[in-house]
Amino acid sequence: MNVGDLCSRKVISVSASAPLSVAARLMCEQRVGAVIVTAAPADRAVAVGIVTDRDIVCAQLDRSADLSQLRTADIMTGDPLVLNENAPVEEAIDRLHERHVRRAPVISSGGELIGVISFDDLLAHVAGNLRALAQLADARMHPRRHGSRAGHDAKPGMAG
Amino acid sequence: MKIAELCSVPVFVAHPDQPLVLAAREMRRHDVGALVVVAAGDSRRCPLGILTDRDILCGQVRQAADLHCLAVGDVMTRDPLCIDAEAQLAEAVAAMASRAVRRAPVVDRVGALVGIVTLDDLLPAIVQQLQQLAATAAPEPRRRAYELSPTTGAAYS
Repeated sequence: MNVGDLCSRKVISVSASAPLSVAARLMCEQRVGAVIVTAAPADRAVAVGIVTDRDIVCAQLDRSADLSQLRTADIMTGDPLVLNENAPVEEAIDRLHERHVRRAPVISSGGELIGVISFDDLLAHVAGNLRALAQLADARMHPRRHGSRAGHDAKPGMAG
Repeated sequence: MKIAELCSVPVFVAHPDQPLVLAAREMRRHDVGALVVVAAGDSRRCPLGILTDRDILCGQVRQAADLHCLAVGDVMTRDPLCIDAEAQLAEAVAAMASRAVRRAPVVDRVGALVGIVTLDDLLPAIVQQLQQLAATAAPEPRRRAYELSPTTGAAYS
């Protein structure tokens, strides 16, 4: 299982040059706690940072300026962790842990920004593995309940 | 496992008529993502609402007003889900999932605030239960085999 299989394909992004009021409105309308900040130095958008709701509130406290007067680039967390869609899930968990971040932009092999992977996506994946394992244990104990044949090592006469 | 053992104490509070900018400063000073809103002068501190970074930001967008012109009561999320301190882990998870909230004030039998519990607090508790289960399931001979040298069969010192 790779990052590309689990990540959200909907990238909520804002240009680095956009005023913070745009980023704030986007977060509220799209119901997300963070947006990816992009710049287009060449022919395509590149993730250059992340801004969270908390970053914006802290910027307001520090600068006592109106949100429309601050640029997203001024307060974003730059140099974000970026993961390749072909990276295995274990690597994603390791890298998020190392960097102490809860989300990362995902790029294709060609370098195109294609999604975002979050703590929540990874938790759901691990929990799904665990649920499947629990169902397996339960199915071996109660094969009829699950409407399936018992495994190859089940006792004779137990197959449903 | 009871929620009383898992929740964060102390919990930081705000009042509905408090200027929003002061509440935001409190959140940053204590490095917390939420304050529980209680009535000023309420010694029991019964939760009236919860205030997060998101509430502060979206309240400003919604009301087209600045942080400095709003009060906590203008933007807080009212009628928060409260978890009984005596509730079990599974009950809290089910209640939080049904309301789709990641954090909830924890209250005692009379509704007085005792703490706050978050998804991040509950995950390690569940992981700990799993680790104990995994350790129980691992057979003793195999665990010992891991400690043997693959070539000589001699145990590592």
